[in-house]
Amino acid sequence: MSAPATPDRRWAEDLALTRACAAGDEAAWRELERHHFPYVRAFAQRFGLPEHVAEEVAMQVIGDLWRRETVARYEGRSALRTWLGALVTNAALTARVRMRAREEREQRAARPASSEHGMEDAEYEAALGESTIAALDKLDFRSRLLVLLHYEQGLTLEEIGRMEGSSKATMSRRLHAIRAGLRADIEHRLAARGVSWDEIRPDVDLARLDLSLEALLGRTRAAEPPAGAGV
Amino acid sequence: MDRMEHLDPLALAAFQDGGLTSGERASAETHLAVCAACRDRLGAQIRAAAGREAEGDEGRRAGGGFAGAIRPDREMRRELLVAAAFGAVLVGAGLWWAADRAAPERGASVQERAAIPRETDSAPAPAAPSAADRELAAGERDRRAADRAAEPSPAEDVESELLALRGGARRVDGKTFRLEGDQWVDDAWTAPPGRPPLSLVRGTDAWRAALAERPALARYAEVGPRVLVVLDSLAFRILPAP
Ligand SMILES: [Zn+2]
Repeated sequence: MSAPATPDRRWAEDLALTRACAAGDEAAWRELERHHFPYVRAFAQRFGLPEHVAEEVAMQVIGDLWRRETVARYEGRSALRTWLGALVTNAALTARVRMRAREEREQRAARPASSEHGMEDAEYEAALGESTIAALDKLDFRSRLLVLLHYEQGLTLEEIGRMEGSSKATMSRRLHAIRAGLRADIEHRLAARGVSWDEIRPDVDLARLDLSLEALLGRTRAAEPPAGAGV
Repeated sequence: MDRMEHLDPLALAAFQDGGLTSGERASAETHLAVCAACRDRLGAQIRAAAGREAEGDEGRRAGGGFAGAIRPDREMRRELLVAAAFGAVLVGAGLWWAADRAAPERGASVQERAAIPRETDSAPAPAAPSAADRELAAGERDRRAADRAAEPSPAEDVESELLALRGGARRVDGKTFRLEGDQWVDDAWTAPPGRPPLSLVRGTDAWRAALAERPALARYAEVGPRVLVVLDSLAFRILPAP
């Protein structure tokens, strides 16, 4: 994202600041330190990391920012703070992965092996699973991304819409259409395999599909019901 | 060496704030749709900005939540299967795009390579074009589209995981593997885990790097040509050399 980067006027002030820093302007550095470093520190506290780890994350990001070539990478194509947030997120998730890997290694021995696969409904499950996979596989990238950002990442439709300049209502309509299409496609595929829809229906009902997606992918979402979830 | 190019923090920030051109945006969307690592970062930075990252993380994506949600009755199993199928296709999509083309980097663990951007801003290389530059280059996109067309579909890759298996079992070093489709699956595997399994093709640099880090993989690789094994809470899909 460098060559023909067009800075956005919205963030002209941010860009002026970082350019001054990159040019070695002492006053600009003090400004950066006073106004933005505390934000980096605060942001690092939002990942549920132990205090000292969060502080290390913040220090790592700030340490990098002190280097002119790092601060010079900012191109004014987002708010400076959004970029700082992205840098902190990057460092925080790395720290979290390391921490968890260590924890899980330690806990592994104490954890019972789980392998409960009742297979009495194997045929049925295979039919449903394969049909669902096939239906999902047919989604275009944008639709798949919308489903993922919503169910997997727990972003609200408002947040997703904001990124592309669309309203929450627009996103809600899109998601609703995707889910309806998904269900219809699954139904169609099951029928082609000779599995009756009556048998399947309760499972693929939209509201239940939502529950299933949430059970698997979902994280606690800000109070917002799934789009178009009806019973 | 063909590598997966993740979106760097600059690109993710611009994506979040709507600062990308429509072409760049489309390209970023295409990547995000198949790359769980980048989605995780985008999701986390937005949730953190909204102050709900810390509490929302536990139990997300299968790991605890999925296993904990399983009830033994038939209805619930079916319901979860829909979810499992959905997750598997995502896992498959991510893998198909990512893991097989990700080259190992010295010093980083396999898990970190799968989860964390290759090009982090904590170690910037100012002279080189950013990941997003390459990501967004039109020629590169076309080439990748051609690459993707030549690769197996995610569904093919994961269907065998979901199919019920009545084959025999093999035990190696205290682990039990059951044949599911054409793949031997570790009993410890509960699809899908917190992270997608990392595909390791025998004979590749990635395979050697993984072996160096986890020598036990060699023994489990002997179970069959295609093996899904859980080690240190990470899942590895061992595939035959091409
Ligand atoms: Zn990525």
